[in-house]
Amino acid sequence: MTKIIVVEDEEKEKLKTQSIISPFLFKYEEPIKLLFFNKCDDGLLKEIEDLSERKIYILDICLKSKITGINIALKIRENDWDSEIIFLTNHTSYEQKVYNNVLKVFKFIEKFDDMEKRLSDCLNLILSKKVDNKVFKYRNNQINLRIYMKDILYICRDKDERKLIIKTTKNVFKINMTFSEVLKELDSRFKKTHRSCIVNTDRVSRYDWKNGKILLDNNEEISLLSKKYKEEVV
Amino acid sequence: MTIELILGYMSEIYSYIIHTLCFKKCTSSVSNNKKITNFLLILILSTISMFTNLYFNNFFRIFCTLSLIIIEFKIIYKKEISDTILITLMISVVSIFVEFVFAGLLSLISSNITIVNDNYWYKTIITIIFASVLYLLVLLLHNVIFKINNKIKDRLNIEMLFGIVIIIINLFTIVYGENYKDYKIFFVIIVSIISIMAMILIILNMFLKKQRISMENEVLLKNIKAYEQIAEDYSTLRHNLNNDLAAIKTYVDSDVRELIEEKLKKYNSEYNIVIKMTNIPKGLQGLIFYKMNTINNKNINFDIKSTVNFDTFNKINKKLYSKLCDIVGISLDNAIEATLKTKEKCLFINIVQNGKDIDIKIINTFNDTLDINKIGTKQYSTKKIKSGIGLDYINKISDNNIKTKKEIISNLFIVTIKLIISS
Repeated sequence: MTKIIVVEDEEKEKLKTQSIISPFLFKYEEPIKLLFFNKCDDGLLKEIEDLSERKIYILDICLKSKITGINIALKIRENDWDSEIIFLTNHTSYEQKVYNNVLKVFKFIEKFDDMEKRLSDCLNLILSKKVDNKVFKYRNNQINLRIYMKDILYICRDKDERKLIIKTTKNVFKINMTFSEVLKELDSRFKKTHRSCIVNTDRVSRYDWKNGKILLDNNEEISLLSKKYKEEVV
Repeated sequence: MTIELILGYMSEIYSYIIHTLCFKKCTSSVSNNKKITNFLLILILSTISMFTNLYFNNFFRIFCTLSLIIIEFKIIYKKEISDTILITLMISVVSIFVEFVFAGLLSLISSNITIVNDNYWYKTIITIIFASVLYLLVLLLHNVIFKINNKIKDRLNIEMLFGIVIIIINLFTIVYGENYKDYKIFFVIIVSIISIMAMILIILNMFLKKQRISMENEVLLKNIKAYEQIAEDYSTLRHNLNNDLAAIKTYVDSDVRELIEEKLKKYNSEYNIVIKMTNIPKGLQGLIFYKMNTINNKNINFDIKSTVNFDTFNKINKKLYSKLCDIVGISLDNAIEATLKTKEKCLFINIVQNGKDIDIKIINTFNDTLDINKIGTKQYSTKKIKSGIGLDYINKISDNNIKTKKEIISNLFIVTIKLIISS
């Protein structure tokens, strides 16, 4: 079940949002439940703390109470980085860039700028499962690591140290794990292409079996392709 | 016996008059009483003083004399009691100093000190000379006494200090009696007085310095409060302006809407992050302001949110608060350094109350190579100029009252500093 949780304190806006969301309740196979809150109360906190179900939060940034939409989003992101957050705002502000990045906001939608179309598009995108939030998790005494699987390009072995290197779109992480251990944590899109490489097949543009090279969608080329693994990959 | 009493009484009267003139000089005060009233008062107090000199022991006499002098000054000059007490004590210390110098010299030059001790005429003359010398010395020092009196706000400590000096010195007097004796004793006492006075001056200097800083801080705090009020008013105005413009946008065509959008951006870009800092307690506020220079110069997209009550921070002891600022400072430095390497350059600080405890979360975007198992260990660093002591130091100073947690969510580095107040 997917829950769409709307936090809006203006009755007029609430009705407008409800009219936009209602068509989606029966559009998809997956059951969808719609919940409304006008402030951050115990009921909303209970929903935030429940991580068993997938959620889409639609939050009004400017709530009359002391706790704003941003505060609610921060509360959500304390433990939940999987749910999607859509902000409804009266106007754009410089803080949006910060929150887009630090809270992984799906979208900021201005209430007076084609809200119906923009919100509908967002919901279509999220509900049709075109949004992939699967994560790879790793932790040690110092740090918890969560990487979206869609961001992982490939995983290879560090030649100097006995570690695995996880290459993502923006970063490189070195972890103490074996290939078999890491494969257990990943889904079926990750395939072994070489004895020292696992690749995210969704991020591959082209396999050059002749030269043993893989061209990724970020134009990076890696020479870790072995014909031994062709059957598995293809 | 009668002559002795008369001589003793006259020297008391003279002594009181001199003390009155000394007080007048040190405070530039004028008495509003009639002269005859003041003179009668001096006569009465001299009588009481004579009585205590004759029938009470030395220690009681000292306090009696001081009290009578204070009463005299208060009645004649009607100054604040704290001023009166402080100046009386300062004059008393000078008086004691003069007495011992005089007594020492007398013991030195007199071939037969017993004659002086047994003759009341000699004693009276010496007392008069001593009082006159006191007045001359006060004439020299009156500016110093005046300044000290005006500069000191918190009187109690200084008055206690002078009081202790007088008690110690008078204890010597009790031991060695009133009569002039071996000069060496007096010189030892003089050296002691000078040493004590030197210490008092040093302590006084430190005290005045502290007071000055305290006064400056008071003014600074007042200015900050006024500024915070202005910032809050501006914030409300800005918020209302934004909402009004947004509402107007809905009623106009797209060209005008674009214009309004530009205006909104203009007002928001000039929005000062400082306004959001009014909730942040002073130490952390200062720290963040200090980092703002780098943040602004490097065009880092920065925001801060705090929902913590000021009073909560006031409950934390200063040592713990200082440690917290250390950890926040190091974490912020790391966050700024890391986010500069990214395209997004986003940095966010969230301060939130978690029960009785406080959570400070620093979130930054990052774009780097990280060895997950080496983070926080000594000499591991991703900086160009490698130091690797920051996170290691944080780990070392974290304890039961401050815990840190690090997370990486995709390209976000999150440091959560938990301040545990409940323990």
